[in-house]
Amino acid sequence: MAEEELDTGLRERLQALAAAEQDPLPERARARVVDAVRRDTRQRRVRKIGAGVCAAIAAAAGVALWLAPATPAPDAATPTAHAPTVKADECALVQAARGVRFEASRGGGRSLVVAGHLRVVATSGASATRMLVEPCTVAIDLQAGRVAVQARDRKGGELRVRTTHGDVVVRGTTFSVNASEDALAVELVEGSVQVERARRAALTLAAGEALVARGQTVTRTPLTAQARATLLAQLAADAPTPAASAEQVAAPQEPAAPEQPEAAPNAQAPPPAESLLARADGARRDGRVADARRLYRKAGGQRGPAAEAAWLRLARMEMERGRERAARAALDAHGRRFASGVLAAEASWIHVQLVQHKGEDAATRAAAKALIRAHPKSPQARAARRLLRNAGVGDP
Amino acid sequence: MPPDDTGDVNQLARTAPAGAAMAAVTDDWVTRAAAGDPAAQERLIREQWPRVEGLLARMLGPRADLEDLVQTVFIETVRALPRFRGDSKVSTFVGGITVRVAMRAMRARGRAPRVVPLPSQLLSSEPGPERRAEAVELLQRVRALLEDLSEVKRVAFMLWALEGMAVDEIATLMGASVPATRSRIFYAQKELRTRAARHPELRALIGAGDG
Repeated sequence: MAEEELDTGLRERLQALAAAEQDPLPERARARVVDAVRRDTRQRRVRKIGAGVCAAIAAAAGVALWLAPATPAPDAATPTAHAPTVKADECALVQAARGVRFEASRGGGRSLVVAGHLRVVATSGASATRMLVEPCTVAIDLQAGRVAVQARDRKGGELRVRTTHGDVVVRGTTFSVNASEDALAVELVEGSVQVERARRAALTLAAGEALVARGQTVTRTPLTAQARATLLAQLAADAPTPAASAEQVAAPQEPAAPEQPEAAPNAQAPPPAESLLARADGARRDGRVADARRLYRKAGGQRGPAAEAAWLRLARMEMERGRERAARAALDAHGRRFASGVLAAEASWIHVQLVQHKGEDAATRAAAKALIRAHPKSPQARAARRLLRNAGVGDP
Repeated sequence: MPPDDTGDVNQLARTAPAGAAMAAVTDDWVTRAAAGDPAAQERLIREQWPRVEGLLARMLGPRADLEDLVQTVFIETVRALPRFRGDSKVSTFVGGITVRVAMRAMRARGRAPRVVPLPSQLLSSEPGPERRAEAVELLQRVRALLEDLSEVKRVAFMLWALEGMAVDEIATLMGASVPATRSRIFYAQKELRTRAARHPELRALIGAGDG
């Protein structure tokens, strides 16, 4: 039809835009799809075999009925009752996860909630997708960035976080996985996880442990209180909206913040501290120090462990940049707002390091001893004892 | 994501006369893929991957579940292969399934909010990310304007306008006649112009008011 003219100019303009739109899928996505297709083929074969056996039994039962109509076998009417059980396609976990996607959450990241089973929170900037691997695996494909996971009743299914450097298989519980270009980092709060890497023995991580795998090197350390608090805060900050949360996995208990946040100047809720903290970390990594400072302070003005962590990260950043006075100011702010916060031991350790940087040996020892007295069982106390031993001072 | 059903994905295959399935297949590896040979299946996936990924991306825009959809396409393709009669290209056969998977995803979108991943270059410090961001933004607006249209019109228009496919090729993939396909594209284009007229930032791009 002459009047149905298609506009080739429009087409050229749109095609030029489309070239920018989507990154290609990573190379390893193809391997995953090939795996999925193979599994599907195998499962269909199993079903075919099962159906064939059913048909054979049905036929045999029919013949038996025909040959001996006077003495029907009790099961003759339901011959399939004795057929071998064909394995179900999906377990309860996969069924529950079907159709569930990562969705924007109020913490600024994205979260995936499988009601009653698990919650996965991806920080802003993280690249994570949900995959279902039949018959019974939910896999989180983490290309980059960090996810925090809280797994409850997996109904016998498997939860697996896949990264370039290896997989983390859930045996519990509450943990985070951080994938970067050259390393895989796992922090475990509760339960246990297994870290599986290609051509290497699997490692089982227990609660309270952290692991960094970089090439051949694997470092296992105790999980710091700060890391624990940050992970829990991430899960808490990205909790689903109250209306939707009734059936969903309960958020972990957030340690009580001892102080109220600064009064909000207007009625609009500020971004959550966890979101600000993540943005501040990003700015620091990108070298945007002024932005990082501003965001850390803003996060620190709120409540909860993320706010508390913000002051300490600001202090550490300033200390690393040689700005001792600014670092001390951040520590002081932390002390004022979170006098008995969950990260007090970490704050004390930063204080020790600050004094040490100034070359004040006596003050350093005194600060280390004070830390050990105040937080004797903390990882920071262990570091302080090591420092004292190196300085020739025994345990206080 | 594995397929929810295979209800209409085999429409192309069903057009083959009974008994003729596979008879005309000249590519031995396609036959082997249909029989479940893993190497042949992998070859099918490798060869068709760029087309499937590209078609889905153009029809649906950036999506976090793109890989799931690609997987669905290949699972459904392999399931349907035994009924592939071989008198069209494999790419056409796979393309038809891709179109149907995309239309299903469009229908499901109302149930699952879309998560749009930012192209990585937007997050990099390379020159030009702002321009790329603008392009992505403009295209997302164009897609939003088309959201109320029927899936067949949207898909036909996206394949023509973004993928640059010929009308007869689109018609084959969609299992429709060429005039009907052309008409769908035309009406999608017309509708887009009408709607873009209310958006000053899109007028120059769309040529709103030109027709």
